[in-house]
Amino acid sequence: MLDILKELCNINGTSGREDRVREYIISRLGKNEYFVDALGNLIVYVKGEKRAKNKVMVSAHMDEVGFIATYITDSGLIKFDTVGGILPAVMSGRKIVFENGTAGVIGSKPVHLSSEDEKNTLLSEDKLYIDIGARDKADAMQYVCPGDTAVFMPDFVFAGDKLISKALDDRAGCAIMLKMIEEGLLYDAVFLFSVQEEVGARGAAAASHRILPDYSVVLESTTAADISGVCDEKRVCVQGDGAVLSFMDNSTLYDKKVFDKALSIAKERGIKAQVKTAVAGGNDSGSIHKSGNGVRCTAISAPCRYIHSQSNLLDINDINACFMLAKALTEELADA
Amino acid sequence: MNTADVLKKICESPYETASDSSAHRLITALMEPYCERIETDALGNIICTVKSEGEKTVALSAHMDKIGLTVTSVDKKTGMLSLAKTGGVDMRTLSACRVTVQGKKLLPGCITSTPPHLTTGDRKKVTPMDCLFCDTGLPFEEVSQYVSVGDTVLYHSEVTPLINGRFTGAYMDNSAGITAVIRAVKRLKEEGTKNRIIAVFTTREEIGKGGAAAVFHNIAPELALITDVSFASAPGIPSEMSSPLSSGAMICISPVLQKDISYKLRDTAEKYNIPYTLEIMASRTMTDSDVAVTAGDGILTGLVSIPLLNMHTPVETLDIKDVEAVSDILFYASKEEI
Repeated sequence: MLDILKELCNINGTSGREDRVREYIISRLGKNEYFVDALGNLIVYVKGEKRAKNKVMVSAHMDEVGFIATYITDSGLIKFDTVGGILPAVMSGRKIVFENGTAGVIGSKPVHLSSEDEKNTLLSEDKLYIDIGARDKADAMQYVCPGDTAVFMPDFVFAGDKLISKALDDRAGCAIMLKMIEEGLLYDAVFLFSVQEEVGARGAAAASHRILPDYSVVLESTTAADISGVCDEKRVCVQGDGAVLSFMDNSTLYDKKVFDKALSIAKERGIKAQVKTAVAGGNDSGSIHKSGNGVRCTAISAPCRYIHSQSNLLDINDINACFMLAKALTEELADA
Repeated sequence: MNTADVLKKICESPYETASDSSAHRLITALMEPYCERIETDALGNIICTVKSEGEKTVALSAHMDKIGLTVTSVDKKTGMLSLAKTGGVDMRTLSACRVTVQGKKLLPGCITSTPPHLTTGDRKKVTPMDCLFCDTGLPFEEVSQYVSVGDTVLYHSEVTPLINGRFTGAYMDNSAGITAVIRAVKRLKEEGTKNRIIAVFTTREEIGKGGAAAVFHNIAPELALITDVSFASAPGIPSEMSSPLSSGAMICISPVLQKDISYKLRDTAEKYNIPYTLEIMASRTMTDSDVAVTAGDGILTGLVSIPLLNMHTPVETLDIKDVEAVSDILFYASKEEI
């Protein structure tokens, strides 16, 4: 699963440009039946050993946060906007790469020439630019046009029991789903690899309307603030403590019965799990729970440090816990 | 190896300590074919005798130290490392930045960034150093086996080619200068010179220039030619304080340097058709030249710089042709012109 996750992370696909991620996933689906809808969502109908009483939809999103070129200046610098939420703190000084492979950097005025105020002020996207090394506008336009998208330059690395990479949010979820599909299921289930999560959970809305599931299990990454200098009650979740279950976030009130079931399954089977201790963030469940006639939702997340940056950091043991819990819960819900 | 290959190797070499590092060993290995003798002094400066006999002693010099962070403590609960700045690190680029900890072994890691739900105040304020940590992903028991207080943490940013012969990555400052010196020395060896040639690679430039002060006092050359990086033009940078990328070498004119040397460097560039601009400074140059010129009994000193964008960030950007232009001036100037 880690090899697949590394390959998935190194593929570039911002919201609306998930094509290469989808092609990679399709190449690993084997004989499973699938469908690509008008938005680019990939829906896989996986046959289990038995027919399911309830339709369970397992999902993860294929897109990642990134950048979109908006304007090329006369001097050949590229003005941009962010695709999804990227804080000013993690933009300056980063390498990026466009869809066609053109590399660039988000530069910074040298500290030597900056006032005290400038040195202590982060610049947001409206004041920054991407430099690809172009001599002027015409030169730049040979490589990049307004509307082209870019992502943080891939730089995947193992660090002890952890991984550091861009786009672990939510390629980790995609990798877990691929492993579930590859291992085979006890009951039939529908797998959704969704698009456009980072720009408002838009893809999942349409896909869920088509699939009309009884239950939804969203596989995600969620902020882990278990870092030095943060008090225990502000940590949200803790790396190494396993899969994170949410009772509520900024987009969804999760189904209490499913939440309780997931916790008891974890306890029975000895799978490490923890409850998210903050009402923060959101995911595809925000669209899914109100699709069709309403869907019972749960989210199983991997605790992720430095989310939406060049350096997402995940614990391999947590990814494995998410996999085990997702598989067990999917089976139980199908037969509930 | 072409110029860009050499530059990439030096940029990406670890710099564990000022007295000895992988960078020291790499530079020594690269210089060995062109030198009669190579020594390292008490401050870690590398002194390479390229040619021990000759009319005048000319020293070519570039600093080899790298800005970064120093580990000040290890958190027993999280295993994360507290940090202090070594040199003028750009704080605006630190959050979630990939780094390498130069401990007993090299550990990959990243700098923390404040989680979105805790950025309650001004999201445009830079996070101060005491709220940033280095995360290696290892728990305290493990990280403390490899990392000690005082160890160095460097940016992890490999050299990446951009278009038009431009390159980006960490530590072009001053791997570019080192590359220019090595290339000039290679040519001097191949084409010969009437002068005595010494090449020096200094430590501590970014933290007070102690390396250059000691080494120039020691070798006391008749002419010191220093190369470093300087500011390339970009939005927000006054054009009188910068030169465009790809405009060649920046020849410094400053009251702290002997003007005859500056003009002779300019004449050399003119004579051999080497692209250049003049960099005018009203006082100190903020390079090793400032201490070389006053070392010992005083030394004739010239400064030739490579235009660089995004200085002191993980994405320092330059044009490789500018490195070659600086190298060409160093070569001709030390060969015979001055």
